[in-house]
Amino acid sequence: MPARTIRELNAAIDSRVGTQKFLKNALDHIFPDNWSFMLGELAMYCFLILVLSGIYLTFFFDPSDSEVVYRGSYLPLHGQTMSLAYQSTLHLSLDVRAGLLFRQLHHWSADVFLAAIVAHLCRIFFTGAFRRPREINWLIGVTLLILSIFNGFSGYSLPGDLLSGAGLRIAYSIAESVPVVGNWIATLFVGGQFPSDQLTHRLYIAHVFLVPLLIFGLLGLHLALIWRQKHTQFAGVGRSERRLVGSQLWPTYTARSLGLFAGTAGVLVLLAGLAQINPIWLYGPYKPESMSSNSQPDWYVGWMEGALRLFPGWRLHLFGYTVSEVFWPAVVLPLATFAALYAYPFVERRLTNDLVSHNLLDRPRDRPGRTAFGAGALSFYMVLLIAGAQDTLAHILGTTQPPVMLTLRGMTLAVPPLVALVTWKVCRDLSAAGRLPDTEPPQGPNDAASPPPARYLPARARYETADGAEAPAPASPLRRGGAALLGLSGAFAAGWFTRRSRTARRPNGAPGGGRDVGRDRAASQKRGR
Amino acid sequence: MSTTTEERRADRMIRALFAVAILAAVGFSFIYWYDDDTQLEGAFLGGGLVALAVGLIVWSHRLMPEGPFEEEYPDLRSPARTEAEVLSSLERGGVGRRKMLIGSLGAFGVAVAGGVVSTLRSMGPTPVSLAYSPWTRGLKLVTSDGTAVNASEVPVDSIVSVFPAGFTNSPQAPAVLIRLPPGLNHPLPGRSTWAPQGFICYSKVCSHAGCPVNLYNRTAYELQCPCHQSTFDVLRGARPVFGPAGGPLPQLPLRVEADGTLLADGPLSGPPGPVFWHHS
Ligand code: HEM
Ligand code: FES
Repeated sequence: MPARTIRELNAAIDSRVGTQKFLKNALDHIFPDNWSFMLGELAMYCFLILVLSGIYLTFFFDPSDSEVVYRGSYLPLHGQTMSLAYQSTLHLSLDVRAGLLFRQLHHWSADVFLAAIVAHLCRIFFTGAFRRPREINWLIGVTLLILSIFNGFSGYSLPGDLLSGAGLRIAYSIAESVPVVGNWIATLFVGGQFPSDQLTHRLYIAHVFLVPLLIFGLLGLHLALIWRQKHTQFAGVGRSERRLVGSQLWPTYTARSLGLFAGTAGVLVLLAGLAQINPIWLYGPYKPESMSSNSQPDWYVGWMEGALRLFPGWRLHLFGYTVSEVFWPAVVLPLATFAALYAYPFVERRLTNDLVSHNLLDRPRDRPGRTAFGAGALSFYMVLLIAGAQDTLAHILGTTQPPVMLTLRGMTLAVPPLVALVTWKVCRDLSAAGRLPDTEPPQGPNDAASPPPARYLPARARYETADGAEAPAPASPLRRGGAALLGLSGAFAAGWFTRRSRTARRPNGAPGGGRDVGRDRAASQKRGR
Repeated sequence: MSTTTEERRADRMIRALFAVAILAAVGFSFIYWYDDDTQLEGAFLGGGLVALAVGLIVWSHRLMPEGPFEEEYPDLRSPARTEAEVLSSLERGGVGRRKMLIGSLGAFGVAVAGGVVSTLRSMGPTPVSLAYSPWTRGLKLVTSDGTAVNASEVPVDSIVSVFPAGFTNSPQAPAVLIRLPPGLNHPLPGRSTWAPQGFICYSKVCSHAGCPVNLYNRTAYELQCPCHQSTFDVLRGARPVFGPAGGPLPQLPLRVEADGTLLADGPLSGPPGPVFWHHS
């Protein structure tokens, strides 16, 4: 029996709203146990942390392109002309208590958010979770991915530092490259010629209001559909297309999910405190005539950056008009990528003539064609992502840039088919061998102190799938935990390694000493307040 | 509540983890108030949250009911009768048969949407030609702070960012002035007088995607753009020799006055920056 206050509160609300049926249903809701089903949740919690840390930032950030001469506490930039946006970001980072922590938390969350979304998308793709009846959620998901990439880009373009300004200049050129209407698109988006005095303001509204609102709404729809359709599951003991097996929302999944939230927040705060990210005071303010080498965008834009670097300089002259070499890698490729993502479930349905509903997931090996295609496509974008740092790569390898670029160009053509072929072969062999990788007996029912009101499954001698064939047992909690840990740390590691790793060289002519000197000076000043 | 030894042990462990979390959170506050230090703040707050997370997850695994519980997937497709009822409700009052009315509602929607969308025109001025460049004959070359560049101040093999006097803020304006050792330049046809005394000047706006072409390799006489590594041969009209740019950087013809003042001797050889639809 719950405590008296809870009982009274429950009765008070129920007698006015009639909540018991809904609550009973909700508390007993079942969610299947598998670490990879938590990736979407990981993304969701990153989004929540982004919203919370972002609200904090809005109290200090000034989205203005007006120019000021810096007279603040960071001496290396004294006397430089900069935008108010840049000045307010400097102030937040170097003078506001815990300001840097929240700024870095926001930036880290964005990088891990996108990593989690991509990992989640891969989980959905490779297990066939997008098949009927869940195509709508796939479409919503792709839209969320696009919105999230856009929000990330608009976010790191706000502070008006050298790198974000250069990134915007490239974006402006990309808009310009659209045939016929390019100049109109670029001019209306920027509100004049680049850099206009309205751009930061516009990006700001999009970044803190429009896009987050869209993400919030679509995320609600995404979750509502999962609630209605219920989550998919892998084949296993007692599980079938009709019967979902897992743990209950209350209390087990609530605790687990809150644990994931706390864990995500914890790791992100640790990163925010201990791992520097986007130290804009080292880059200096944006000036159209300066730029430093070894600059890369945040990782989720890296594939477009790589495409821009690798695509050959083919200019098309058509009836007196010109199509820029930028149009293909920076406009056509992203559009084709997202169009292919949107279309995939429907194309696969056409090709396989698979019209029925699915609640049981595929094991990737059992669908060699899809798995090979997905792995090949992923490897293509990985090569582009690597190419997004080709100058840094050449530097690390101690060679010149031409061989690196030529190799990467070749790899965009050679690696995807190769990866696809190998994946296909491995899947075929694994699948044909029909190996059961795990033959532990199924977990017995758990004798918790107060038995919950749901039915226990009868212990079964064999593992059944929809068509009655044998299938592997679910992994033990230990292995599941291990795998979950591996997945999470993988997602974080991906974020870590691909973070906006830009070794800032001082832009031409900018005054200032080494990085640590400046930082220490600012820090000691802060202490001295 | 806890009965078995194992459960008592789990309970103790979770309590310890939560205690760590509380202490860490208090520690965070202390550091914030006492001596703002980003690293320690992150370590305490983050560490506390991780301890909380581990506590919650241990709780869920050791002391809460773990399945397998089961549930039926819902039948999403409704019975044919219900569907028929919905369809007949939709047809109330013969709504669906008034094709003209529905059509004009749709047309109204399209008209309003079109009108509202067309107001996006207010988002910016009429585009100016992307071919615009402020460089014209007779303009002095100045640095970003507006001081005129004098030939005597530019030693051989050095590079300076220059602007046309009066246009230091124009994004189309930046150019690079390089002084080449004598006799190295291979001028393009018609440009033999454009680089007097080894002074040669190119637009600094990259012909690929508009970044400033900011890196100079003075042994190979190449300019490189830091954004995507387009590389231009300074000795041969800045034609691209590496990277993604599909065309050269426009060149500025120069004149050196008797007192050493550097002037533009004409406009750029082409529009600065990336090519565009109306580029000729
Ligand atoms: C803002 C980004 C996103 C968030 C916060 C999010 C969140 C979630 C959550 C919490 C779940 C349930 C748990 C799980 O299966 O992992 C889920 C399921 C799902 N998501 Fe996402 N998601 C996002 C993006 C995407 C993307 C990019 C796709 C694919 C293109 C996608 C497609 C799906 C599908 C099809 C399901 C149902 C899975 C099933 O029942 O097996 N989502 N999402
Ligand atoms: S903008 Fe210069 S290489 Fe792309």
